[in-house]
Amino acid sequence: MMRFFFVFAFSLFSLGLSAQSLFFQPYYLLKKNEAIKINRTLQDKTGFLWFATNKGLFKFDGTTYRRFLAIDSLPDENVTALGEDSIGRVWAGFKNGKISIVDHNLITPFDPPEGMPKVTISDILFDKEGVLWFSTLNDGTYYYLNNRLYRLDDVNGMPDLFCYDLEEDAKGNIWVGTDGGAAICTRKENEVEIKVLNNASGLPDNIVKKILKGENDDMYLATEDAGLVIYHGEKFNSVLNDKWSYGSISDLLVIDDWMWVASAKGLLTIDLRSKERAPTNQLPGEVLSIYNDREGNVWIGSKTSLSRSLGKQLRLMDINASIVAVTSGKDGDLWYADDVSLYRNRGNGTLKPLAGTAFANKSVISLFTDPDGFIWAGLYGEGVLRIDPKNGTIKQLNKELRNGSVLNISGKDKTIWLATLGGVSEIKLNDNFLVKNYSTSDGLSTDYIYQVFVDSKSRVWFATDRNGVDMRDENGFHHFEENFDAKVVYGFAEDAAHRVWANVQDLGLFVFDEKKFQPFENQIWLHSTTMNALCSDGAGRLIAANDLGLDIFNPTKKNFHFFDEQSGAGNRIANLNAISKNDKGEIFIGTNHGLLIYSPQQNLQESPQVLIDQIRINDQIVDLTKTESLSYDQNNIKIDFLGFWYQNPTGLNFVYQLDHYDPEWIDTRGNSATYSKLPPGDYTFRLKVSDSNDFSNSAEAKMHFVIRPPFYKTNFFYALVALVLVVIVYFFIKLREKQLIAEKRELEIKVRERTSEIEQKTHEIQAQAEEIRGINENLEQLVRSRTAELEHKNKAIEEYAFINAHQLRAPVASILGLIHLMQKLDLGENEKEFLTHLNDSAKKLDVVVSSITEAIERGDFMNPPLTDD
Amino acid sequence: MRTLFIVFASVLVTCLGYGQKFTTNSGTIKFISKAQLELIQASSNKLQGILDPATHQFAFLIDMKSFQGFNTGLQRQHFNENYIESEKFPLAKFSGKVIEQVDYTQNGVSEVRAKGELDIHGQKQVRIIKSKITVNGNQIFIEAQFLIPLSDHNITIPKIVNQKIATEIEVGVSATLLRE
Repeated sequence: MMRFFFVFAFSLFSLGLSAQSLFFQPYYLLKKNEAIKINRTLQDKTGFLWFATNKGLFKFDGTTYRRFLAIDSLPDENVTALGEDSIGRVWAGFKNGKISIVDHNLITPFDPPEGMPKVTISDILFDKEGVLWFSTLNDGTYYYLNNRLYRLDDVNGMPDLFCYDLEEDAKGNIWVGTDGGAAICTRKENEVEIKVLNNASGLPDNIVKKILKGENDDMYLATEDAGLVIYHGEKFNSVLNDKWSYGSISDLLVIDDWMWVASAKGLLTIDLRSKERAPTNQLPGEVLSIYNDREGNVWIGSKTSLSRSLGKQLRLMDINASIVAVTSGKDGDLWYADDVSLYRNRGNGTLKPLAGTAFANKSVISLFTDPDGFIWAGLYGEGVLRIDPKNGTIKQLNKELRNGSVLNISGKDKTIWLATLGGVSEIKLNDNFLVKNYSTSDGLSTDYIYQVFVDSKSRVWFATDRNGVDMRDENGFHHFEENFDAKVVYGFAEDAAHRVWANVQDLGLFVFDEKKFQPFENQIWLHSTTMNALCSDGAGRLIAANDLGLDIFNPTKKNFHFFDEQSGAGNRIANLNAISKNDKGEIFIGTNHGLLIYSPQQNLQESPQVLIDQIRINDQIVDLTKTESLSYDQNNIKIDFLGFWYQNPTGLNFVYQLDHYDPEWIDTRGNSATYSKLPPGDYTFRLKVSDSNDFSNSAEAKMHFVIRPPFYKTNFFYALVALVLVVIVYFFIKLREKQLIAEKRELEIKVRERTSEIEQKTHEIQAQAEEIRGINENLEQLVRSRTAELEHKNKAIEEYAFINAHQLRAPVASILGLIHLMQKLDLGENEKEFLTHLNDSAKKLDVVVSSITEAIERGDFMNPPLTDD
Repeated sequence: MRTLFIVFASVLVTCLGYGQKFTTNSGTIKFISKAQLELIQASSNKLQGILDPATHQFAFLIDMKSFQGFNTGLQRQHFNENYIESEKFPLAKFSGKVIEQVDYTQNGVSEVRAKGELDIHGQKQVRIIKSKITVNGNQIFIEAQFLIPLSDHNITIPKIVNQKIATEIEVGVSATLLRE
């Protein structure tokens, strides 16, 4: 049965202002508590922050300050303006009217021949075409074009020489805030036309201290006494509904729908849509400068100090109570409950919507805003209340529910789901508020449900106590408990890719792969596996609140952010499932001490920026942007690098790799890489930075350089040597050829000579031969005649010998016979002696005759030896 | 020429208002052209000027034909006829306002910047020129050095002599102005 409670008098009693607080982290440029005036802040293209102060110029990388003073050639230690040119040089303006250029930590004066003013430089601006503009306090505005300095003053139509600020509008006009109104400078070549907006044009105050370009050609003008106006369509409108009471303005900033104002009475924020002051605390003390870096940090410089805020990204609502449930109404009011009561915060005050009703003393443990704007408040043991925020009408549903302890409320379209200690209740948002209860008997695995979640596919997910996940779709109930050891599931969220994530007690996050829940592969980058609340923002980032702070990560891009104590989130512990999201994607988290409000911002740098700062080669700083080619002995290289992540500078990790040298990425928490005795080669140094150790989507810096080989190892040298060899060989061949030709010629001459000699000899020989032939012929004739003669003589001799031999033999034989006979005679001694001698002679004669005969027989007489005769 | 100056000065005085002003008729102006092949110098001591201490406004003018010096007579002729076109543009003028505040009643030296319109060869350029003003009783001494790019004033140099004439002319001014 439904019970209706109508509160006739929607009793709202204010509990006083309970403003949202921005977290401010102080930074100490000097000794702690030593006052320093932060006149201007600037983040250069590389990522460094520069602070123009009354005590020098500071360069900051998140952890280390570098201070520039007079000793560093700073012309004045009171720095009053900052600008950056198109090539990344920082220009600093000073109180004494000088301007200096800071390039790679070297300070050089800007010294045009026209001279510089002697009064404070109030602002420096480089317009879209790169022209330098600077404004001065009581010396007009200058622009520097084609190496000439031009001054805009009363003669040119400048309403006053006191110029506070410069701003370029969408059309390229330069707006100058002066004591006589805003001067709009339109430059054509070196001529400038000035149009003035002042009291006569409708400007409420002629003293314009700051100008800021807004969207759609809007220009915001901050005046000395009349506050902020917006100039649009040649009309001025106040930015704030209320009368301005915050004194003069020295700086402005617009981030999303908030305007940040540095006023004489401190920092304040204005909601540009409502034209009301944003419900935040105010930083007291005169604020001089505010600056929004690329990460979304807001740097606030005051007369005494510097501080950083996360801006609207993370706000606190300091409530001295533990907030167990929270929801944001469609009207922007914030509804939250502690153990005692339900509260409604309207920015300008906090009310107790249940005060004076029958539920004044009931404990609200869950809250939800339905699509129609009604606030649903779950009670402990008393069912649920539906509160009309417009008139405070309350409708209770209790007995219709199976269990009256409503731990969590969610819903989609025309259906509300309640997670209770006795199952789940589904309420149809029709006239009858039809309730349907689900319990274990209907398919739930347990009746103790922490959260009900309806995803984009209209599947209803149930986070159960010790029984994993139940899910109901058009096919009925499904149960998932694989991989969940503890099986206590606190809640769900859905990312941009429509994947459902489960927050499991002590195990961290699990993601549903359409079959089962898988452990989150990058769980290690989350700071705790015990999450008290889980939600996704409008961009699909998951926000997990744990005891240490807020882990915010983009599952698609794998970007991880962590808001810790330094961000103001760490000392607050979220209560279980005390989390909600409004239509703008803002997340509200109930903690043990008030509320945390996370507002995602667009177009922010989502991961740390990385910079290769400087290169030392053989211990000398070298600018590799001018030359990337190094000699073979310039091979001891130290590379200093930095990461910029001002929200968590100490949590940065780097990986680097030198292509063609390092086989893999090298991780370090240091800020340098050293390479000794690098061999000649072509190298690319790659560097990544991350605050989570996941580098898959990290920014990468690259630096290319080449170490040339020594001359004697170059291809040129080899080619030269080859060429020399070729030349030598060529000349050798040529020389040899020449020699050979000479020798050939010599030989030819010799041959010719010899030939001639031979020819001569031949002739001689021929002559001799002729002669010889003649002689031969004579000789033959002679021989023939001689032979005939000899043959004749031989024949005669032969005849003679024959006669001798044959005719002599017979007498000799007779003699011998006679002698023989005589020997037989008795002869005297004398006769015997004569006979002996005669016998000997006869025998000799016989021998001669015999030899002649033998010779004749042998034919020796046929060929007698030739003699001359 | 004198008539021209009287007209100019009277117009200026009208603009400046009446009062005790500093004037001169005999200031010195000299220029040097340092080109690659030739150094040309010329000067005139007929610089006329007026400065109003009350409004800080000033005006100076010079008859371009009064420049003497040069390396040759022909050079002077070319200066007047070809480059400056003295017949057509007889005067060079610089008038405007001294940016810095100077107390002309106290003796002393002040570094100031004079912002005004420099009119040479009929071409006007807004210039800021650093100057030194020395106040000494009833007279002030003004000194200034500055560069004049010929292109600023539409003075073209024939290519044939471009190595003899610098593209930027160094100008020096010194003048003692007496209180009227």
